[in-house]
Amino acid sequence: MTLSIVPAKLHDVWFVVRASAVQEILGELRWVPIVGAPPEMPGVIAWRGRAVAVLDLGPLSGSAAMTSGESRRRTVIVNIADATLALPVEGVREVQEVPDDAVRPAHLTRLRHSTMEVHLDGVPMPLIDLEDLLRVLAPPTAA
Amino acid sequence: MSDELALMVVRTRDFDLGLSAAQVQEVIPLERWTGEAAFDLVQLIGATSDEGAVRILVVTRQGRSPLAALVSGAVTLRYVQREQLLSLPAALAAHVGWFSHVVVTDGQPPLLVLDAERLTA
Repeated sequence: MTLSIVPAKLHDVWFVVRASAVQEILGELRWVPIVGAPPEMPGVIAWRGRAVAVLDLGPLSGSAAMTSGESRRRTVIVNIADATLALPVEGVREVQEVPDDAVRPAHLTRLRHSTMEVHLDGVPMPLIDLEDLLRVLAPPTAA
Repeated sequence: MSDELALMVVRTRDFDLGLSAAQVQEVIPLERWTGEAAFDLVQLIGATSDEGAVRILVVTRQGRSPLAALVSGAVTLRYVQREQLLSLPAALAAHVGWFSHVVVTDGQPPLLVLDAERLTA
């Protein structure tokens, strides 16, 4: 068995997301800050005729949050539990297939919302649990 | 239903703030306002006001008394195509419930649309 992943880079640190969640990889996009929004989800971008929440992994990895007017070279659009999110990053690699034994409990990497890491070309990269992240950032509200 | 929505737009330092014009009963210069104390709309949502004339927007709400919202800076009427109104994603709505839509137009400041029904002052 293998796992399909998409490696992405932010502040010189590589991390991976499951390829099954990735809808599209775009270039640099202008985003709109929303006043009152949390730093991890600071605004929206317009994508396919709708507004998609921006997910900034900077604050989650202990680095600086994106500021208004700042943008990044690549935007990864992901879909998780009926929610679509845009992840601005500085680089993206092509989809990789990694064997199951390359996916291990996080030991060499430390990232919130990541309990596993993937060893790719000898480099450990945290596997971000986007579902968990979304649960924390946007808990479902009672109807 | 019309393809356009009329919005009363208040300019803030970083973006435009829109309210359905149908819900704005009056726009009154502050010096002529004799009603109850008004709340600062832009400050309430955590933004920074533009400089300029201070006015009161009297905003109607269903089943409740109108709100008196104090704003400063330019207040203009803007027509927006309904297809330009992008609903705020649910993931964000939990944090900024008073906004309902966003309008992104090249060359213009973003326009955040307030849902007056959700405003509490």
